[in-house]
Parts: sequence; structure tokens; C-alpha cells
Amino acid sequence: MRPLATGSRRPVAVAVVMLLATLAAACSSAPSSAPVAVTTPDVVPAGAHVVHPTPPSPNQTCGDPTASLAPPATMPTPGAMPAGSRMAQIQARGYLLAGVDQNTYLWGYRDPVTGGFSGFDIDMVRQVSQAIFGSPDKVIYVVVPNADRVQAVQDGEVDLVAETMTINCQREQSVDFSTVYYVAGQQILVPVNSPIAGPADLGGKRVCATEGSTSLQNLVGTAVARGVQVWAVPNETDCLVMLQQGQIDAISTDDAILQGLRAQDPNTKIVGATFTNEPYGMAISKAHPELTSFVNGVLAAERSDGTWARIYADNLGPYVPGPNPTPPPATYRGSP
Amino acid sequence: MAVLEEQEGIAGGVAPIGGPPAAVTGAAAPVSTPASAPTSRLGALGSTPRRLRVLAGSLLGLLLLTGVLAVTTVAARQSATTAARQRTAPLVVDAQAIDIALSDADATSAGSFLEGRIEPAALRTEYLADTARASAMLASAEQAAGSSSEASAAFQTVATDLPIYTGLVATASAAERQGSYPLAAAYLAEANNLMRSDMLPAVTRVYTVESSGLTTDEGRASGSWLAVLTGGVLLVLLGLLVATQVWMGRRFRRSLNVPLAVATVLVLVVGVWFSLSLAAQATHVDSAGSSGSAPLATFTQARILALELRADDELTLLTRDSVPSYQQDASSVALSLNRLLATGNGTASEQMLTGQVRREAAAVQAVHDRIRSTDRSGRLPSAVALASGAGSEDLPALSSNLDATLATGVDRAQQSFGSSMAAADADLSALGWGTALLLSVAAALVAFGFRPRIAEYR
Repeated sequence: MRPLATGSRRPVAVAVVMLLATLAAACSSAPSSAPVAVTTPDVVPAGAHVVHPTPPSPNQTCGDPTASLAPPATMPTPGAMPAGSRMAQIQARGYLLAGVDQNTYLWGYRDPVTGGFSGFDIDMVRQVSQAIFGSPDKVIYVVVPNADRVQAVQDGEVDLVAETMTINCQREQSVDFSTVYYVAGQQILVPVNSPIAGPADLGGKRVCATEGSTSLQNLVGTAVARGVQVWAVPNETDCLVMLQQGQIDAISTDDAILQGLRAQDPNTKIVGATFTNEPYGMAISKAHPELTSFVNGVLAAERSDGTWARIYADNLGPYVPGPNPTPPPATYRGSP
Repeated sequence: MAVLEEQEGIAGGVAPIGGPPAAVTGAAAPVSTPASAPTSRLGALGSTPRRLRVLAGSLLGLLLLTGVLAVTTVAARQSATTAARQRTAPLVVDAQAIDIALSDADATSAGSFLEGRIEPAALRTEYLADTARASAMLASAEQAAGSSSEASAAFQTVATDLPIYTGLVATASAAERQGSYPLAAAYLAEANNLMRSDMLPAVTRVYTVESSGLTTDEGRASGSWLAVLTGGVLLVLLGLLVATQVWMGRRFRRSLNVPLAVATVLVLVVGVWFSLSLAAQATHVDSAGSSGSAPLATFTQARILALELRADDELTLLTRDSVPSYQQDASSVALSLNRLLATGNGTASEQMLTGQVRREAAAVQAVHDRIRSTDRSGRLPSAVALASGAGSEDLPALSSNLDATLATGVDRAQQSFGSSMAAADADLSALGWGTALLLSVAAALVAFGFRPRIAEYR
């Protein structure tokens, strides 16, 4: 038999070695770094997306949607609105509630210098305030997203909306419109060095328009034929951001809005003739025809006394080439 | 049993310590056959020399097993504590700090646009400090992320986005200076969208992954099954040591085998030291969680939510027309903030801090409501004044009060985590090699204690 005494020492040595080895193993671990693939992010404005072309929906017809209610025979004096009328209620309230845009340059925007609202639409509203209160400043501006304009008027959240709003048959079913205070038309804005000279050159190009706008519908309707890639964004200024970032080739929307965009970027130009007709009017609840009629009276006065021409010269004159136009004529369909 | 009973009469006999075998009779005495003592565990092992060898082997084997288990337990806990202290916790803290710096940069840039064409110098400085901090921390966080591919991919995303973000804000600033206010707002909205849809979610991803990693680390650092197993083996070892000595005492008429007795004491010491140290360490790890990483998460999340709420209000006033969802976000943020603050618990000082946070958060939400109602009724200039004014009741002051208090909470929780984890580490500092050393000595003593007995049978 092998002597056990010597054999019994071996486990001790083994034990010590193993214990030390375990200790050593517990103390070492080296991190290694793996290479990470870098992808260049393509950053676009929030909500920007490509719209897939759909065949144009047939236009609703309703005769002439721009025909509005005739003004009252005599306009009431400011500060003395006829009892029981919507204007009297507004006067009693002390301020006019107007739905406007705050990001459409030249039309409805917050002036960074004054902090207040400025623009053609805003001046239209101020004239209504002047006619009711005798002061243009009795207005509370409520910023209404484009898609909510009809709803805001229907719900009575605002007394009227003045927000580059095209009068059309579909909207006419839900709200009343004032007479036309501006006639816009869809055009194209491109960088100054762009070869695009008109709608015919848009084939195969990337074009941007505002979500939910008539401009977008027009583009999508023609995209099938021309192979235009149409981008929709929440706000027209997002189109300018995308144009400056080289993500689109052209912006197509109302010339009125394009003029505001060009005013913010002198390296762009408006090309081609207008290819749609977009008459702007103020939207007013169908529940208050006397207010629509009253506003039409205000607009009629502006057309004849040169106020409209002054407002045009103030807001658009410096930015729109050519002589200042005359105010669009009013058409009426009867009295309230 | 038969053997032990047979020896009972001489069990009390005293023998010189370490002396030669008192009687050869013991060795020569006929041992009971396995058949005659079926119930005796020691007796079942057959002849005395065989029993001695099996006992010595078992004891040494158990000592080795105990040693390996103890050292493994300590090593596992130490590596988990170290991982939590040196990698996971710093990553969580870095991710949170980056998140806060980016959120604050976003809120600050929106706020400075709200102020108008001339960017206020103080806000400009704060914005630059935020982006510089985020950038510097990204560099260190990417290094700390090391092998965590998820974390480093997320940091990479933020690192590639950050220059684009600052570029967009700078473009917005240039547009603002030239009076192209809508264009400025559009660029700012794009920057904000990049921040909220890509950058902050990436940081949050790191934070979420590493937070659960931290919880896992904390669990491993105070994990008990290995410790319990070690304790169990240690008890068996102790039992066998005692039984061996009792049997040897009777069999060889020795009252005390000193090497074995000393080995028994050493094993006992190891057992007590081991369990006390592990218990202390587990307590420290627990408190690192309850007064460290848990409140750290709460305060940081609250801080991020509060900053998001402020940015929501500012961006609503700036760009609401294009993105009406800021207020939807604000209400869900406010809800999460309240829910988070309602769960606040912990130590007295922490509760005091939580109370202060609740009061200040309520003030922020009150001014938020005032801004909303003022804006909804069309008084935008008043709403802007509330959201960007310098008064003590305006959003910036109230929001930064809340942020400062939450930052204090974050700092305290971070310190508490650090000191508790350091204490947990210290609890184990000598335990590993100490246990190994003591058990090795015990093994040597066992071998030494058996040697004369086994030698008698040569």
C-alpha cells in the first residue's frame, strides 16, 4: 500500500493552488470595443412624408362659391351695432375673436420686432375691428391650424377666420365666406439656379406642398401623369426648409404664400404662370349671416376708399414685382 | 454504532498531545464488519485505515470545495459590485446627464426664440454650455460603453445627430436675426423633432438598458444562492470535522487532536467572517439601490419630464400652427411627472426634497395652465410673457427652481449610490484571499492531524 501520509499532503497543495487560481481569475476581465457602423442621418421637418399619387377626386359644383351676402344698405356706426346682431354681441364682449395663422409670412405671422401679429390677413381682421369698435386693436388672435379652420368657425371658437383660405364649394357647405379679398393662384418656387421654368418641367422632380391644402390635391392629381414625387409637410415654411436642405426641387402652392417664402430666402424665384384660381375669403359661421353681410360691407368700403390698396402696398408691395393690382371685385347672391 | 459503543469505556482517556499512538491494540483491534454495523456511518467505511483515508480525503475535499465556493461567491459579488460601480452606474449617470443636457439645450433654444429677434445672452450661454456638456459627456460615455454595443450604437446616434441639431438651431437663429421669423420657427421645429424623435430616445434606450443592467448587477452583488450553498458545505465540513474528532477521540483514546481542533476553529472563524461580511455587503448594496439608484432614476426622470414640459409650452407658442401635438405631449408629460412624484419615498431628507419637488412642480404646472388659458383666450403676448419673462412667477424662474431641486436630488442619490457601493466593496476587500488563506491553513492542519494516525497503520 502506498503511504497515505505523503498522499495526504498533495490535496493541501492542490487546494492552495486552486484557491489562488480562483482568486486570480476573479480579478481579471478586459472590455473590448466593437466598431460601430455610421449612417448619415437624413433629417427632414417633423411630419414630412411622400404622398402617393391618387386620381383626382371630381370637384364639387355649387354655382359660384364666391358669391356672398350683400352688405347692409347702411353700415352701422362703429360702437353702435344693431341690437340683437352678432356684431352687438361682439361689441358687448369687448373684443373680436379672429382665427389666424402665425407662420405664414406676409399674411399672418408674429412680427419678431413688435411681438404682435402682422400681415395681409391680420389687416383684414383689423378693419373689421375698426368697423365694430372704432379701433383696429380690439382683436384677440387665436392661432388655428389650417386643418381646423372650418371646425373653429362652426364651433364658435372664433368669430371669423382670415387665414389664406380658399373659397370652394366643399367648404361653402359648412361655413359662409365673405366676398373675395384676394385672388391667389398656384405657382412654383425654385432655387434661383433651377432649370425648372414651369409646371411642365416638374416631371421626375421632388415637389413640396402643405398637408391638407388644395395645392397638394392639385399636385397629387397631376403626379400620376408626370411622375412627380410629392412631399407633404405640416406647414408651408417646412417646404422652404426642405428646399434649402436640398431635399426637394420645388415648392408649389398659392403665389401669395410663395411670395412670403421668397421674401425669406432671396435665393429663390417664382416661375411659370399661375395654374389654379384660389379666391381668398374670410370664413364666418352660417349661424350669423348678418356678420357675413357686415364684413362684406367693410370689404366694400376698403375697395372703394383705397384701404385695400394701402394694405396691399404695406404687406405685399415690396415683395411682389409689377404694379400693385386693383382689389378683386365682389359678387353678391342676395341679402340676409 | 457498535464500534463507538465498544470503545466507550476508554473514550475519556487522556493522551499526550501529538504524542505517539498510546496503544497498538487500537490499530490491531479487529474492526467490526460492515454487516455487524450497518447503521454506523463511520463504521460503514470498513477497516480503520480505510476509514482514516476516506475521512482525510473527505475533509480535504470539503475544505477545497468550501474554499472554491467561498472565493467564487466573493469574486462574483465583487465583480458585480465593480461592474455596477465602474461601468453600469457611470453609464446610467452619463446617459441621464446627456439626456438632461440635451433636454435643457432644447428648452433653452426654444425659450430664446420666444424672446424675439435678439437672443438673450444668458440663454445663449446656457445653450452653449448644454451642448458642450452633452458633447464632452458623449465622448466619455462612448468609451465607458465599451463592449455594450447597444449603448455605443445609441451614443453614436446622438453623436452624429448633435452637430446636425446645433446646425439647425444656428440656421434658425440666423433666420430669426434677418426677420424671417416663420422660417426660424420651422428650422427650430425641425431641430426639436430631431431631438425628440431620434436623440433623446437613443439616450433613453441606453438609460433603460443600463438601468436594468444596474438592477441585475445589484441583484448579483447581493445574490444569495452561492452564499447559501457555501454556507451549507461549510456546515457539513464543520459537522464532519467534529464527528471525526469525536470518533478519533474514542477510537484512539485521545481527548483532543490539536491540529484538527485548530482547523475546526479556523473553519468556524471563516464561517462567521464570511456570513457577517456578506450580510454587511448585501445591506450596503441594498441601500445603494434604495437610496441611490432608485431615487436617482426618479429624480432624473422627473427632471427630464419637467424640461420637456417647459419646451412643450415654449414650442406651442412658437410653432403651434404647424405642430399642434406639443400640448398633447405636455399633458401626458405632466401626468407622468405627477405619477412619478407620487411614488417618492425613502429617507427623511429625501422625503423633504420630494415634498419641495412636489410644491415646485405644482407651481410649474399652475403657470403652465395659466399660459394655456391665456393663449387659448387669444392673449398671445401675455402668454409669451408668462412663458419667457424674467419674473419670479414666470415659467423660466419656476422651471429652473424645480430643475435645481431635482438636480440636488440627483446629486444626493448619486453620492449615496457611490458611498454605499464603495462600502459594499470594502466589506469584501479581504474576504476572498483571507478565506482562501485560512482554509488552506485548515487543510494543512487536517493533513497534519491525520498523519500520525495513518502512520500507525504502515
